[in-house]
Amino acid sequence: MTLNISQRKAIKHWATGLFAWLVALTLFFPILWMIMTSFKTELQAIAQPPLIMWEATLDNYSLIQERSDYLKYALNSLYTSLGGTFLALAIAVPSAYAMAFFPGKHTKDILLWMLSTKMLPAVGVLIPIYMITQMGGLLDSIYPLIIIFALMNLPIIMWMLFTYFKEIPKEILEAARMDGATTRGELRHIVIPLSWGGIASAGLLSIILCWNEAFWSIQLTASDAGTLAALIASYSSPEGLFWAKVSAASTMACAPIIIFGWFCQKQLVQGLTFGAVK
Amino acid sequence: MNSQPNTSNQTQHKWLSLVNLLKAPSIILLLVWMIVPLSMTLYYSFVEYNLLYPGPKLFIGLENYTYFSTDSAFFPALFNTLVLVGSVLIITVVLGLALALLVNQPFFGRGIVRVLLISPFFIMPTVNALIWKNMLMDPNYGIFTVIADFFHLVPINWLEDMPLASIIMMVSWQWTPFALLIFMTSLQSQDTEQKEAAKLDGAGHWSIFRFLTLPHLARPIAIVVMIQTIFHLSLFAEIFVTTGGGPGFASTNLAWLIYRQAFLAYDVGVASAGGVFAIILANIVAFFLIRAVGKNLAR
Amino acid sequence: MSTLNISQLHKHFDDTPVIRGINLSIEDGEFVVFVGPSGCGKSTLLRLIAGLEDVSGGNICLGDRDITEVPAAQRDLAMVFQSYALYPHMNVAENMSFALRLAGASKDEIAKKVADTAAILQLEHLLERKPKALSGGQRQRVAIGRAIVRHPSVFLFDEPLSNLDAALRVQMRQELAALHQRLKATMIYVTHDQVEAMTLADKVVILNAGQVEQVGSPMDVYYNPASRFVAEFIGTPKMNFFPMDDVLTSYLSDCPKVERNLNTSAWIGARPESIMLDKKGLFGVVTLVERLGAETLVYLSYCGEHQIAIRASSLTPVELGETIEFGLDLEQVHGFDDQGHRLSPAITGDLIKPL
Repeated sequence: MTLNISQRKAIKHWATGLFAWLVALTLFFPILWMIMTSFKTELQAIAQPPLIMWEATLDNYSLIQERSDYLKYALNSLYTSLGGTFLALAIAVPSAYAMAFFPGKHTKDILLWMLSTKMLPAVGVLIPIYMITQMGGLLDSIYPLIIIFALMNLPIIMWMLFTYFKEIPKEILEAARMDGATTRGELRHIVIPLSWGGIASAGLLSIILCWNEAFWSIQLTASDAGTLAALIASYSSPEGLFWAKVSAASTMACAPIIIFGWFCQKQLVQGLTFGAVK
Repeated sequence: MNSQPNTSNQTQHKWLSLVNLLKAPSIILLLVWMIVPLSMTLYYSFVEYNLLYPGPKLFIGLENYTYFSTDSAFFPALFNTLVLVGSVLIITVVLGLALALLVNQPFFGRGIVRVLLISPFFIMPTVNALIWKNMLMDPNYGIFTVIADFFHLVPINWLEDMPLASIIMMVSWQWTPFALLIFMTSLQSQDTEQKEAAKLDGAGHWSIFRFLTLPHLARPIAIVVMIQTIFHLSLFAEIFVTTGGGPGFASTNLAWLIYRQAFLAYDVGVASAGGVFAIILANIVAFFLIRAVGKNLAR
Repeated sequence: MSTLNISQLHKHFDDTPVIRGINLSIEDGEFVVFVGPSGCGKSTLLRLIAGLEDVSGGNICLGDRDITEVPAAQRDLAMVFQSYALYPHMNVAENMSFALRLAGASKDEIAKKVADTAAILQLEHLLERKPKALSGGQRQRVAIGRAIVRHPSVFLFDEPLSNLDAALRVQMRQELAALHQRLKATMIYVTHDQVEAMTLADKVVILNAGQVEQVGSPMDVYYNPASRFVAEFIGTPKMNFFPMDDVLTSYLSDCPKVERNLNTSAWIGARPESIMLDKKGLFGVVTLVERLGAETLVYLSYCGEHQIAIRASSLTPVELGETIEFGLDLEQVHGFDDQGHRLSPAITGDLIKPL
């Protein structure tokens, strides 16, 4: 059976589609399974062979708050993510503005150095930070977390903002100056409105990174200031093999960020690749 | 009319200080963030300081360093760190590239497929680890075991028998979407006219990929490598939740080794020495990376 | 409404001098064009006047106000940029009213001024649009409108027509001339196009490597070039140059204008229209004939190495490769030395006054 071009194209179209869907579902499967498990009872969760059809229950979700005060952890995650992001932006916006529009000889070097500070494993500075936090009586408080998150993400946010600011043509700012704008006026009327997208992307990325951050949350908090990441980590100890409940907690913890990510793909990519990929 | 020549350095200097004032906070803060803990770590690395034996912090020179580096886990940890980062990079870039090419073609429901494919990246690392540990790799109830049984194969006890590979799998699963996302976007900005010209010149799919697409992707690949290296060098959460560095030191990386010393052996001095090692390693990698990739980025 | 005076202006970037001691005076209401080849410093000079670059030495005075140290935002000057530099996130009305809003003008005042300006430039129907929805010509008008709305003492234009296509350029050139007539404002205009310079300017400032070569009216500069540089820059096709060899020396022996004792390193300049095919004395070989319809340009090879362009009448009978005889209009030739300085006396004022 010889096929003409349009028939071959159609087959290719369908084959590609089928293959892609298969790959996508396979890759997404673990998440799907987690969501499914969250609606099972503990017994159903470990049933052999694994259950694909079952009577869904919302018990796990309703029990989460009881067992481990989910709300508190969620709020902590929210505070630290938003706080860390806001702080980082407050520091980074004027800095990136200055670097983008008044570049010195070493601007690029400084930015690359900033990026390199992120390569430092957190473990390397774990002890001093722990000690400082302890000395300040700030263990198990969200405030050191906010500061640490902000500083952790500062390099990436600086890079993102720098790239976005650089996109603004210098002449538009000169026109604003000729129209009588001061530096503050330039920032307020031109730079920030034009780079809202970039600032938003940077903020989004920062929120995602803070929300998912586990290392410092685990190390520096106990019961008061723990974030969701820490909560989930605590489920890993052997005494907590409550699969269904863990799945429920995890689903709830991850859902906001996944949905976030779905909606903001474009901006995230732009920011992450420092504007190099459009 | 005033005809005295004047040098207008005054305005220049005014500008300079305002500008520097703006730049300063981020630079200063990061400097402090770097230097204060760094110097403390450095200090601790040269003294004897174990939380279990409180006493005066005696200067013991390089003893901590020797102790740390002669730990039987040291070289394995170093090796594991590099293997971990390297493997994840290779897997994510290759897979990400392949998937990006696949998804770049039109087919039904492409939007949803893309959404499904990028989801793993947004999962918390701790959740990621738990999913793999409990649901997929668990020797009794995990899905992998079920599948192996179904095909009458011997099920592998992943976390016990192949801990490093398991971690690599987990991290790759999580980060492939990242590479995919970046490559997907970059492919869309590729010049179609260029490809059409190449087709007219007689180029097949492979040639087009090799001579047009790959160079176009050089920059995104560099960026992906750079960002992932940054995050993978200090991988921690997954190990914490799953293998705990074991069995033995099979899945211990440098970060975990340090953590073990500090919080499990309570030896701050040795852990700090380990921290310094980690810092040195990070700087070496950073140096080469930035050399190779940073110029590309900073244009 | 005042005179702009520039004295001893210097500017260097790092160690490279870009503006070397410029003195200039611009009267109220004049249309002044800064013209010159790329890199001559004309844009830099404009930006120094605007305040977008800092001065390295010298003064700029607007009226009796020394504005050398005054920041750009306070100089009361308006600039139209080559790329228009419109604010992409604002619509046309907001673009034009930005300066007024910054200055705190009342809503009514702003609305009125914007409406007036929009009427002058025929932008009324575009007020709600954003820049990306406008064509090149429309964007340019908005850029001009943004400047007009402020009623500044001086308008600055930085090569505003270079991003337009040829037809639009001609049209906008005429509109700019009309605008100047209407507003009677001082305008400083930078271009590398000498046609724009000739047609728009009251006064032309020709710049070369950071220095002023000549200042004068377009006709002045055309008929009395102060140097070979100016002579070659202004006028298309370029002025022709003949070396003072024996042939030329004897040809010019009874030319009243040119000095007798010109030595052999001098050059004689004659514009294409000053070379007549009905005169005799010199010979050349035709290398190219361009028949433009209204006239014909004949290119000759003189003495085997110099190319000469002649402006001839439309139906002049010449053929490629022909050797033809020509002569010079001795009233209109100039002498230049080896360094490019002019040797011959200027053509008298009567001859160049427009009718």
